[in-house]
Amino acid sequence: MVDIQNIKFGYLDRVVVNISSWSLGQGEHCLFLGNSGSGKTTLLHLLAGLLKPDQGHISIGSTDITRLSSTKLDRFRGRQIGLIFQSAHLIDVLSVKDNLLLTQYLAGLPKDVKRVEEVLEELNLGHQINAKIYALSQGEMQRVTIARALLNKPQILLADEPTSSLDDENCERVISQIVRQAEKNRATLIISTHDQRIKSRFDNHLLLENP
Amino acid sequence: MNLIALSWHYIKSRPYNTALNVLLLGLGIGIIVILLILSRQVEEKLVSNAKKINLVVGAKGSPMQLILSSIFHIDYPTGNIPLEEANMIAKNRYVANAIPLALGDSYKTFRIVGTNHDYPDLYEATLQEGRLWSALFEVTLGARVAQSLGLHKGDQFYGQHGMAAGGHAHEEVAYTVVGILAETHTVLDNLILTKVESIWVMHDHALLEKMENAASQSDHSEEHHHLPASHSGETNHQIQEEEKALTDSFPITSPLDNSPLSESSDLLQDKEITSLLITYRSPMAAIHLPRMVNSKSSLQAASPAFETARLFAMLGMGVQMIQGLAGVIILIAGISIFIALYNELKQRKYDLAIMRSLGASRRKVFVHVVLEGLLITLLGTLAGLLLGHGALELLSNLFSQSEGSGMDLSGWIFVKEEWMIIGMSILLGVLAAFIPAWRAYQTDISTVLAKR
Repeated sequence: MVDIQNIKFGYLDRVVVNISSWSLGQGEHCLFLGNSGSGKTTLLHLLAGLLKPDQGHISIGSTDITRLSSTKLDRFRGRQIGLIFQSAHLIDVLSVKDNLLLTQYLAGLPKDVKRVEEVLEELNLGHQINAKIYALSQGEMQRVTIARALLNKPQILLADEPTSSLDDENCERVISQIVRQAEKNRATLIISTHDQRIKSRFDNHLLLENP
Repeated sequence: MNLIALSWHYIKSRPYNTALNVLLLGLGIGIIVILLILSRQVEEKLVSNAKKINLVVGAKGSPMQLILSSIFHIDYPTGNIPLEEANMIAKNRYVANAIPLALGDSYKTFRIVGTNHDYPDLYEATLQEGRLWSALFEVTLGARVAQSLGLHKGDQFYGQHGMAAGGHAHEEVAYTVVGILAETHTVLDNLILTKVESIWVMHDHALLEKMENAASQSDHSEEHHHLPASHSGETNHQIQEEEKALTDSFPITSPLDNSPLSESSDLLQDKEITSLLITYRSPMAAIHLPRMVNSKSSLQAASPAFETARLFAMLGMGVQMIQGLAGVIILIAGISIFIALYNELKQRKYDLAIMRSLGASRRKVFVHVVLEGLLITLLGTLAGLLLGHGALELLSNLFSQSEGSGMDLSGWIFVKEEWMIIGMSILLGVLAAFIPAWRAYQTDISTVLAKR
């Protein structure tokens, strides 16, 4: 499902990511572990197509994303890759519903309000569908971010430090929701983190070390 | 949800800033729209009022004043000219038609013009009611005069000396309305037309006395003792004879009629008119007649075409200055929109990065920011068009309330240059948003997201 071959990425003379071969199957979960500066976020961005490797290939499903044009890569990312970030960043000027409808629009998918309602219901946010972002609690915002990442039924779900700023209770709740939704959608899940609290929940780890 | 809706949501999220930019742009565009429509309408009015009049002959003075007073009826006359000299010009071989104008009186600021029937013909006027004047003190009203003053056929009024309100009333004799002209959208709508002789008699106290004596001696059964139509008896017969002599022997009323001026008529010896509106018989007249009038007589000849062009040139300088000011306001609005979008972009770079991570292409992000600039300028343009047309309509209502102004303006007239304004404002919106949009286009998603 996710296949990395001989990728190398760096800034100036400093190599940040250097992986000869790594792969993850459809529906499998994996943690990218490592200290700050170890290249976890960079690798996640490479997998999301937000960065282009200096060399090597990254394939998601049957698509080698390193060979896609900029426009095709944007479209692929919108439809096949779900991204969850550390802070629940949403478009403040829009309502919850419009944030999700925008996600469909930017991915070039037709407007599907039913799907929006469905995914919000799954995350117990049905009652907040028309709420403004500023009216939501931090936990609700985080759940809307998860809903947004799952909305277009992506093949792969990438989460960057989703729990680092949460207390234990919320950390557990958020991870459970992400894992449950990934399983429900049969999406491959990769979480980049240095949060040791969630290490035990995943069998599959990729340890990244500072170059 | 689409890019327009998204841009609109962002615009709505900063209402004060948007309102300021819309107001600035609206003000600039509003001023330009007012100037455009106003100058277009004034130009059309001037041209339509001056059509078919090749030359105006009047007393020496400012040629512009002569044109303004005799054609557009918006200034005071330069003086009067002797009937004899006017008659000589009217009979000149270069003259196809000469229409006399006798000015000096008014009624509630609407000018009373002594003239002949060629004058309404000049503007292809038709009658809405009644007939054209024929006897002394009969008047035919312009459409707007009748409407504004609520006068109807058969009504009577006393003229006032002078052209402004508050002049001495000629209470010796009343004018009688015998007809109302249909609207012509020319200066005619604001005039009260009568015979030239009516103006003369109104100011000739000796003749008036004769008439009043006649009236006082007339049969008590006759009504309206002021009216010439009610004279009776021998004295009345004499006055009617004098009136007939005036009318019959006055060649200016029919300049093509070669009947010679009755030199023996004492009545015409010291008579004057204000000006002559002349139509040339041939193009050669344009070369010879003005020169002849200006060099060989005590009169002056003024060309409406030349003076109108001169007037436009003078007005044009003022218009250009105001347009320049409006242009500066629009430029400031454009810069303000640019600053607003540029500053906003700094705060929104994470939004844009998120949009890119959700699948938005660079082009889409660029268009989104440009649309924001465009929507603000379109709002400003709409506000400007409404402001311009609305303000002009308001002005035109104020003008129409000041009777006799002669400017039948409207705010609900659209000129093709307004499309150019819309086009320019679209360009302004794109230009103001271009740099912010380009920066959005170049956003490095990974760097922005990683820094968060």
